[in-house]
Amino acid sequence: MTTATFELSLTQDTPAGEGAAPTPDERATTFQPVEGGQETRSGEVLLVEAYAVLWLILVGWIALLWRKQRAVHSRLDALERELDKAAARPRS
Amino acid sequence: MASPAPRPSKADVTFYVLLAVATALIVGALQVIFLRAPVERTMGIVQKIFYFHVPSAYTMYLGATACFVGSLGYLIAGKERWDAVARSGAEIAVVFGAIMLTTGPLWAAKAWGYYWTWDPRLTTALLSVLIYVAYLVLRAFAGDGEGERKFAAALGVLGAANLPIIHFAVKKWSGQHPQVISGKGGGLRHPDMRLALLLSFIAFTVFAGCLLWARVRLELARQRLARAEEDAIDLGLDHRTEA
Repeated sequence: MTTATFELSLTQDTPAGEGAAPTPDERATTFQPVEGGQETRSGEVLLVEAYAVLWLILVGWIALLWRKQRAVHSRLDALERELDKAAARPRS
Repeated sequence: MASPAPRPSKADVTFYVLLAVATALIVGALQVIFLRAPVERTMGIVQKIFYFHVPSAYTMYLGATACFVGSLGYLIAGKERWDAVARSGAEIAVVFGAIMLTTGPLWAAKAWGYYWTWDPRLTTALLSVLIYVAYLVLRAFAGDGEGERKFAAALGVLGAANLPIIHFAVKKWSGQHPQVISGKGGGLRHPDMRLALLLSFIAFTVFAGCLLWARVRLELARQRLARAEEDAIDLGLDHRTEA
């Protein structure tokens, strides 16, 4: 199998002789991508992350609604207790 | 002896039916998105984020519209139920706006190579979500008097002005955000891609309707309780539990 290489070089010249070490300038400006290389981000992982975020936000909001409902119930309980106490008091 | 549970009203039955329909639609949409719709040629599987990113943005619009209508209704009629609709709509807008603002960058990480750019549509969408966050912060910390409600209603009306700007930002100022649905390109080429998006739109709409209804109901109950507490204080029952 042949591996195609593409040289994205900003320099015009290549090292003159075989085995000659590239100069520091050439090493800094030459990029050689290899066909079929590894992807930096996995699409599958991103999809799962997005899907998890969707449900986490919705579940978090529903939990917040539950908390608000609990607060309403506790206020209602307190009000009922006060009404019961008032009803038990002798009328003047 | 405890009194028997009240019989479900017509509203209760309608709500449960809607919730069942929303559940069935969500399951159907997931089936089509993950098992039927083909993988996109250049972006790969990450393109499937599109099927819940776009409906989330649309649902944010629905919540913002509910906030606008409720705010306008409150400013005109001054009735508390309009205020409840506005407050609930703002919450829906923030929840689905947050989903939109997190799923979009996850798609962009793959498609663009970075999570965020100050593209006109992204920037205006972020601004819109921040307006509704400001609305909710105002409602949470500024008290619940007539003046605060009117001020919040004005914010709810003015906040909606940004919605058409989000929509037309891409056309007016260009940018990088794709225009698959409203653009003049090929759109969704495969019928299963179109079906997946359509089902997602319907599922999100019905689900958001259920959430809005439940939230409005809770808000109305809280308002009634607050009025009952005030009556109790007027009658000399001065113990009030603030939640």
